[in-house]
Amino acid sequence: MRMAVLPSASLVLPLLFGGAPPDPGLPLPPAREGLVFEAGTSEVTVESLLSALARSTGQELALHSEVRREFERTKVKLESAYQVPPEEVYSFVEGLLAPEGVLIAPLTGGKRPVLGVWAPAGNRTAGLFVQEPMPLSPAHYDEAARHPALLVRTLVVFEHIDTRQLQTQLRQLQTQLRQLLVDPTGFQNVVPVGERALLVQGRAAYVVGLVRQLHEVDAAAGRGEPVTLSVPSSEEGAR
Amino acid sequence: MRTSLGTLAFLFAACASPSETTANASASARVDDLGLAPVSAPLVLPPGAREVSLAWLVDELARLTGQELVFVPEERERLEALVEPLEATSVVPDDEVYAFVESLLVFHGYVLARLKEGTPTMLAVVGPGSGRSSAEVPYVPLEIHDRDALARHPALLFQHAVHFENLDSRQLQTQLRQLLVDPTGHCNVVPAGERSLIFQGYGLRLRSLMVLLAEIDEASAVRPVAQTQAEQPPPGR
Repeated sequence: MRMAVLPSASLVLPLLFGGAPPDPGLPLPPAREGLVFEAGTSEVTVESLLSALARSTGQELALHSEVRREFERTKVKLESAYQVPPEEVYSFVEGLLAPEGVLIAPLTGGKRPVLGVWAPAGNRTAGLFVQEPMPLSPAHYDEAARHPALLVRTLVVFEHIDTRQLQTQLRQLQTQLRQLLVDPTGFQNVVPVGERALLVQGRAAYVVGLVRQLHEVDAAAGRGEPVTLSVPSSEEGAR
Repeated sequence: MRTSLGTLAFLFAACASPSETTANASASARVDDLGLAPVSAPLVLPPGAREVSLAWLVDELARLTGQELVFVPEERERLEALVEPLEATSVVPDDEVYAFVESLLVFHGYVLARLKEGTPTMLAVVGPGSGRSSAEVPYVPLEIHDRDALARHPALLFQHAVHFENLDSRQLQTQLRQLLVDPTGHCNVVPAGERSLIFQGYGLRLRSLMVLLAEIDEASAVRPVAQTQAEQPPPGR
């Protein structure tokens, strides 16, 4: 069953701040409204966050019913009550959704855009599932770095390093990068193409952080310098 | 095609097209640039509704296009059980109806397969409900004439041959295998000769792949230059 479009009074409420934010460059509809949390709100459900994002951006959500039910039960903590301006709605909501394993990607645009939402619960219960990453060009890296739950795919071309060797080397890295490389869902991945190109697929903020670091590695390799590659955190990727 | 004519007969026998289909029969006399029946009016969601079933959306697509949509009974039952909560009930413009309905279908693992050429157009709705993949349905894949068609039809099955200037298609297929894993069984990639790949799949995935492959081919074109630079001795040596 569907929850009310508007979250309960103790949850998120939209607030018109007036004035649309500038076009972010990514094919995502801009947020038209900010968010405001009532005083004393200490937690919100994931479902209410997603609904707030949908209302603010005018998107329809594609979401498995099992996932929606789980989102109605799952709550995230808020440290303090505050307002979120329109230009920060995506980053704020995605930042709370990403630790819950949520991935989003647009399915179609236009006047009635549809946003696909994926979560681990869907993978367990929904069986067949389709979620296609959004193509990301280098021109949009800065904007993409503010999207920790947006599933993207980008092609990185190097001047000096052999990407087949690089992929093997990257496997040795720990934690998040390891998850990126061996993700069983296939949504997050790193694949060499030819000798000088690497396809990187995953959460936008993390992907951009990783790609920037790999470009530093490539430049250093061109200068003949030794390079140490460290794994960027999601927060670093978002900056 | 692996499917026998018996399968086709089964599909037609199980045809569950909505009664409203004939209400707009004139639409089937016309076709759009892909040979599909055009949408005759905007999609009006039930006022105040908080959810609709995927079966309702498919029926509306059939009604608005005057097009036969074919199901096996298991698919019909599953589509009726799949409910899509609505964030808004604003009208879907007629030029976005295919994309809106198809994006929700493909998200749940369903694709649309054209069963024949010419008018009246006829589409099969294929998904996980019957345990069949599109490979088991005798569909006539549509060819891509422009990339925008893929964006307008995220669930429609296409077939497209891509020719590369700078890439070995057999090697590329091997390298991309990790990305081409398709749990729905609707997509396929086959190398043809040394410089071509034939793609079968739904619009959402093919569009993403076409963008990607164009970037890869372009990057491969500049690779020899980069290699030449990399092979030069570093400064100071």
